Formats: sequence, structure tokens, C-alpha cells
Amino acid sequence: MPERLTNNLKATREGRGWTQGQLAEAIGVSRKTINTVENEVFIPSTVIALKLAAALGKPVEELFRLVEE
Amino acid sequence: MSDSAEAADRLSARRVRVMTAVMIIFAAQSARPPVDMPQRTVEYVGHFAWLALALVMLLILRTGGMWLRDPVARRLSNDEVTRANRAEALEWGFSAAMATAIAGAVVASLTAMPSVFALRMVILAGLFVATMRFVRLERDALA
Repeated sequence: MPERLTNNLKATREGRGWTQGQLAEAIGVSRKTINTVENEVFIPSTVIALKLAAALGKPVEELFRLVEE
Repeated sequence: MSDSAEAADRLSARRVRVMTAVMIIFAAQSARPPVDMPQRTVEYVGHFAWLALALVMLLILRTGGMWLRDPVARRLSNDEVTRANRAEALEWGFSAAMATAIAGAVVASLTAMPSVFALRMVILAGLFVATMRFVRLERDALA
């Protein structure tokens, strides 16, 4: 069964009142990276996923999950 | 937006604009490709200037460019998503160069084709497709 990675990064970020630029700054990437991850255009590496989770104070599996297509 | 993230976005957008402009100039210079070895000095200069530009474009695609920028801005402008975009663009460019080379080999087996003309077509196809793919991916990412 094909699977797709989805995330609720945007909702979590907005819930904290952060802009994409602020989150990008917090984990040391460009705003472009945050934008493409939120839009599910780009699947981040484990390193970036762990940094996002740490910055937002959530477990990785709460931010990212696999869904069947 | 924070300063460094804003600067990285600005640099990425500028890189897209510069690469588009340079590729248009590069392709325009190929509108009348030489069909034989350069003869006069001016032809040699034009030929080697074109090759030098090709080398610069290849290095930008391989490394992300911005060699004279400060390391922080350069690192942010060449982060994970940019490296992925460059890898995909180079993959497209390689396919285009190979397809052009194969087509050129077919034509060359039927009729005489000057090597300098064939090589320029392969270089142009590879760099043009790779650059335009990178520009498209970066524009989408910056939107």
C-alpha cells in the first residue's frame, strides 16, 4: 500500500505564534525549507525533523505521520 | 522575519534572477553555434568565453555559488532543500545532455557532424535544462 508523509507543522507553528522565519532561525535553516516542509513539497531529513520537534516542543511523531493513499 | 532567514531568502531570490539572466545570455550566444573550428582570434575569444561561462554555470549548479558571501548566509542559502533542488536539477540536466548526445550520435552516424558543434549542443542542453529546473524549483520553494 503506498504511503505518504504528512505533517501538522503549520498548525503547530501558528499555535505558538511563530512565523516561518522565526522557526527557520530557531533551527538554523532558511524560511524556504520551512515553507516546503509545511506544503509537503519536501520531505526533511531526520536531523531537520528532530530539530523541528525540539524547537516546537513536540515529539516527532506528533509533527509527522504516515498516511495511506 | 529574522535577519539571517530574511537575508538567505533575499540571496536565494537574487540567485534565481541572476541564473535566469545568465542562462538567457548563454543560450542566445548559442543561437548561431560554430559548425567548424574557430579560425580568427575573435572567434577563439568568443568560443572560449562561452566555454568559461559554461564552466561557471556548472560550478554554480554543483556548489550553489555565492562563493564570496559570508559563510552563514551561504550555508543558509544552500541548506537541505536547496541541495535537494540542485540534485534534482542536475539529474534533469544529465538526462537532457545524454538524450542530446544520443540524438547527436544518431545524426553523426548518418551524416558528418563537426565535433565542436555536437559538443556545444550537449553542453547547452545539459546546462539549460538543469538551470531552468533549478530556477523553477527555487521559485516554487520561495513562494
